Amino acid sequence: MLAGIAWKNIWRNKKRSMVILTAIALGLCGGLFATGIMVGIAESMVNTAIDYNLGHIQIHTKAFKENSLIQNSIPDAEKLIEELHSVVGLKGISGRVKIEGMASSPATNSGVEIIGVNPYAEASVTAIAEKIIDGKYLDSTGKNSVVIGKKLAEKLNLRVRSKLVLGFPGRDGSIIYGAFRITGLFETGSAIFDKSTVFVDENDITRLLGGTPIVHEIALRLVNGKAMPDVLSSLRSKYPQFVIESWKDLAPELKLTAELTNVSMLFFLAIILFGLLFGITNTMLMSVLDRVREFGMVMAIGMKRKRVFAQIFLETVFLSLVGSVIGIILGIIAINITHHTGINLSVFAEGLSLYGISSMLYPTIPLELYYELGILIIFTALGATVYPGLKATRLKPADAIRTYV
Amino acid sequence: MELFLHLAWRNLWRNKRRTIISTSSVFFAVLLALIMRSMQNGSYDYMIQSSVGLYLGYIQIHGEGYWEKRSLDQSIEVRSDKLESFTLLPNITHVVPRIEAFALLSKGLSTKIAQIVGIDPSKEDGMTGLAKRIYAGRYLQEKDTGILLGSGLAKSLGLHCGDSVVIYGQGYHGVTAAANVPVIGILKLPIPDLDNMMSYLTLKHAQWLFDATGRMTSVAFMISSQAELENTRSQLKRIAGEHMEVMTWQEMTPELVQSIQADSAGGILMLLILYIVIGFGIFGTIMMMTNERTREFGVLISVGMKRWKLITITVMETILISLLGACAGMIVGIPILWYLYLHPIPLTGEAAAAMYAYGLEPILPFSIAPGIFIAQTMIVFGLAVICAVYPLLIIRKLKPVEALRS
Repeated sequence: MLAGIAWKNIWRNKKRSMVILTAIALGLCGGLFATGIMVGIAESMVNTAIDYNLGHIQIHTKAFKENSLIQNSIPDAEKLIEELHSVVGLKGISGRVKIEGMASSPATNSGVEIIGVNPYAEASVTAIAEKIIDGKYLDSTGKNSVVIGKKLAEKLNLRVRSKLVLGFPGRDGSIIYGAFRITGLFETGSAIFDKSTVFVDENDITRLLGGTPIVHEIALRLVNGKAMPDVLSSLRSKYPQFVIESWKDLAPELKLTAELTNVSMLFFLAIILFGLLFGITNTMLMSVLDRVREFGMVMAIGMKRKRVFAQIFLETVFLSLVGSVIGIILGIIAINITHHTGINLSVFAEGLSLYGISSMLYPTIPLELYYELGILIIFTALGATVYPGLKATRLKPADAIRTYV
Repeated sequence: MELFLHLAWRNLWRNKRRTIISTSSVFFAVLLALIMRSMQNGSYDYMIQSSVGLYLGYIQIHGEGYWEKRSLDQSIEVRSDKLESFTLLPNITHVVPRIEAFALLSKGLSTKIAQIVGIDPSKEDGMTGLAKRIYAGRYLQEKDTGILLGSGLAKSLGLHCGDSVVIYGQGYHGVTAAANVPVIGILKLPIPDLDNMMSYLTLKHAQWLFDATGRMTSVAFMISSQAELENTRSQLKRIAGEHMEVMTWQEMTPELVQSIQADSAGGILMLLILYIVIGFGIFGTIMMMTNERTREFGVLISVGMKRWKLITITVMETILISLLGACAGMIVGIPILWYLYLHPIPLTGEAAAAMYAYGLEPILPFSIAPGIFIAQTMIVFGLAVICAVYPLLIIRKLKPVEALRS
């Protein structure tokens, strides 16, 4: 019965209730949307790293992880890659030669990581082939072809079809130089990666190094990223002699960003809810002070103070819940729409690319956030009840009845 | 007019409860907006400070075209008396000359690409606190001919203090630069990219190595006040002379500026949401005040009070309430933010561990730039005044007969 009265009380002053309902709804809808954007940014960073560089899982020898020397390659790599093709849910697999070296042009030189790949296998793991903005991707027809990042090309003052000299240590530690022709430029959305990575055909590297082909790194791409932990543990138990890592182990800086995003998200939601807390408290306080006579009356005829408090509490909760439900539904709609259409952030493209964020943003929200938000809202309602509730229960019935506002 | 103001003021205190509720809604609005913006700006300052102060400096002088090409061929000759004259400029706290180039470092079979930086040991330490980063061996001294390595670099080359390492690269005008130097110290640099790449020689030694006696690629400056950045830049430009580029950190790292702008855009979005929430809070209270007084307005109009006079008084009331709330919010906000500025909120848990791993102190910094106080207080005040439109509309359309019966 108390609940019924509380519900009706809310609608006694429609205007007042509507104002605070709108505030709650807009606040939560906006809060959810902004959170969605922040989570979307964090996901975008992870996806950029997986798509263009890391893949989902990488395999190295223990020696290579310690010291990335050219001789610390994976023994019998061809056989291993053959075996790995049987992994369930595999989308692609690429064996890479990785050597640190120097890229020189007539203008200047720059330290780079030279990645020797089989162009077809690499295209099944990373999306570099799709990010060629000038020229074309590696093909096996041309000898000594190289694709480099647009940022690196700018720094070296080179363009497509220019000649680039790569210098890197050979098997005996002596420096080997090779002239390469740039067939294409890529732009991945990560400035650091674009500035410091060049892709060449593994056959060219093998020829320059002499001897048999080598592989330092095997990168795997799964059809579904969620299957990664299972694949990871099964691979780890099957090949204990190798270091097998997921992108999470490989890119700790992504973890930093994700954690910082969580912290600032929490602070932000807390401030919004604080704002709502004061709004709701004010509304309820006005509502209580308007009804001083009424409360005096019901207490005079025997309503327990506890029940008066309960009634005010229920009113607050109803008010908050109705507003929250509307706000959350609006928020979900806004996120769903923009999640499909994307938000274009190309104005900030350069700054975002520093952090490996692509300029199209797709907001999204993890499911558990809704529960957390729900709990926070209940606490906010509880907090907003305290002062108005106490004010009402402390009324002296005899005085209250004689109060005229 | 004075009479109106007097009436408005008296109206406010006729019903204290109403005034206190409305004032408090403005007060909390100002307080929350201040805290939010201060937190956002604090983190941008922290970002700038930690990336600019770590290496780049707020301003750098290079030879024309150096920043784009990064080649020793664009290096410059700056005489020591000129360096001295830079230090005399009012806003400048540190002047740090450097010669920078990429070269290969090798030991035995392993070879790594490294950034070789020739530094003036004491000046470099004064600006970037490099000596504090030493975790094995010792820091460079003026006459040293040894090298300092980032710990990541040292580890991948298998180098320890006392070992020697071969430097091989290209010097000034393409001459071959090669030397065998002892490792005298290993640095733990906070950012992994730097830790895996940086190595330091003394300026003299590096100039000898690159065959560039008396030359440097850049002079970095730290300043005491960011507000004077442009002024200092033009002063430096005058002294530096022709064929020099004088760049601010914004020009050197447009990515950092943009990422701050992008983040700031996100921050403004959140601020807008906060404004909506608090705006409705204020509107709700003002609406209630107005509704409660419908009868009173009806009486006044029916006894012949001009509507515009009534409107002037209620608008004045709203302005007074907003002014009171905004001032109170600012007065309470200043010490709170001042405290948070001096004692930033420490972070715990995974976020703290991740920040610490990056050499950042795990804190949530706040800013106390005066602009924040003025802007936020004005905005909330503006919001409150916009809410004054409501009573204005009500009074304009009020039908005295109905109002009297409400």
